[in-house]
Amino acid sequence: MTLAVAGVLTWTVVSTYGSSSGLDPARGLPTDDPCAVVDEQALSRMDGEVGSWHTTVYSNGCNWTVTIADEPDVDLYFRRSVPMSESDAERAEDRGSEDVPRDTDEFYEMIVDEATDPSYLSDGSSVLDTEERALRYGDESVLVLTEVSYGLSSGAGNQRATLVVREGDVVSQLSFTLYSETTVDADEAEDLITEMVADSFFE
Amino acid sequence: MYNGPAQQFPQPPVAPPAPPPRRGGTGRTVAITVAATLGVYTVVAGAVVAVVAATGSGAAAQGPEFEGLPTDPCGVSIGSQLDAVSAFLPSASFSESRSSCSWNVEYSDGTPGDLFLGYRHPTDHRGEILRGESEAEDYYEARARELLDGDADEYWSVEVQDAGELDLGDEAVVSHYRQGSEDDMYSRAEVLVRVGDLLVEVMADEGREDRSGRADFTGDEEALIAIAERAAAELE
Repeated sequence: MTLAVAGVLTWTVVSTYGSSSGLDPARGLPTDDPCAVVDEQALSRMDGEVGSWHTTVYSNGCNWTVTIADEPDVDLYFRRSVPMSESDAERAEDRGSEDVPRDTDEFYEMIVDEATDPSYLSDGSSVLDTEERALRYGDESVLVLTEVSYGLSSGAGNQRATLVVREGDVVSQLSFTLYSETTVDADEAEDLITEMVADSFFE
Repeated sequence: MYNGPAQQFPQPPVAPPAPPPRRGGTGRTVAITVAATLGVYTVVAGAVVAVVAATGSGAAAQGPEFEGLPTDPCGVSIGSQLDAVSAFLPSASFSESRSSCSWNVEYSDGTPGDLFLGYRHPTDHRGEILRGESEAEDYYEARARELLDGDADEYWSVEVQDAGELDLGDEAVVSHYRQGSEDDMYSRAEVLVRVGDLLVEVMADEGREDRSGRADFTGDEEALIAIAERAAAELE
């Protein structure tokens, strides 16, 4: 009997903590379901569906397909990360990654900069307008609204809204991109984001 | 950081067998067994907790599960040659059509790159899942032909350097090839296996930063096939 109890306890402890996948998360990285970060009711109002999710040692996140401002199939993206250890950051740089951030402030700045001036832009594309608004989430947070032109005569471009939040060592971002002619202003973007994640960050 | 397999956690020692019950001594015997077992367990649990405390929370994030696909693609061993020397920062990704893991590795010719293991349903050109074994057979046939014979059109070509069929799963192929557009060709070695209505893909790629199209993955072929074999076994 006692052996059975000890066996069950051991199995519970080992199976709870003994990950075989080498994906043991870095200290401080939240491991609750990243797809549960966005409010379920807000998601259902946006006809949201989980597209995919991912997990690594230093980050995890979720992608949804939602309808925003009457535009269907909008990609909504959440990701939270902690900075890499010094040795992993060096190793990543040896393998070709550039300027891997070592601390949370640097990391936060990097994500805000990327939201303001996206590095994925191809030749000919340019940032038409960018607006930043400080929000009340976590230790610091900002909403960045960026409008991009692809430099085509059709006037095609996109508008991306990104919320970046720092809570202790954890930097989170929530982002959606609109490709139609309809855009949202900063108030609308803030309302949408509040509806989605107001309960997920401390204020 | 602790990245070892679960097997390295201390295993509970087998408690000494209880002596045969004696009249009048049963209560004491049980009490001693309980004390000894719990004592042993406390030591083991303490060690496990110590390991966990030293490495973080230990359990990776759990998101939604998708029907019919493995939930721990990074749990497949990539073998001592790639793992011990160079595997770095695994990343697991899950969707309705695919669950996969990728690692940063250094291949045996010194090429830094990515190793990818994916389990997938066949999909059409819009990414919609095609269910059922005959769909998987059709998908496999088209892709295997490309991996064995190569392919080329105006914008994209697949130049096969060495390829052959394998005795693995229901059907399988291994291919070393270069692909890309004229001025940007890069090297890849790929093992494709069909197991029932699913496909297993193992791919060795050059790192994105400085790909040359001249990497040689021949020295890793055995390891790649072994990974595909272990991954396929997870489905059987």
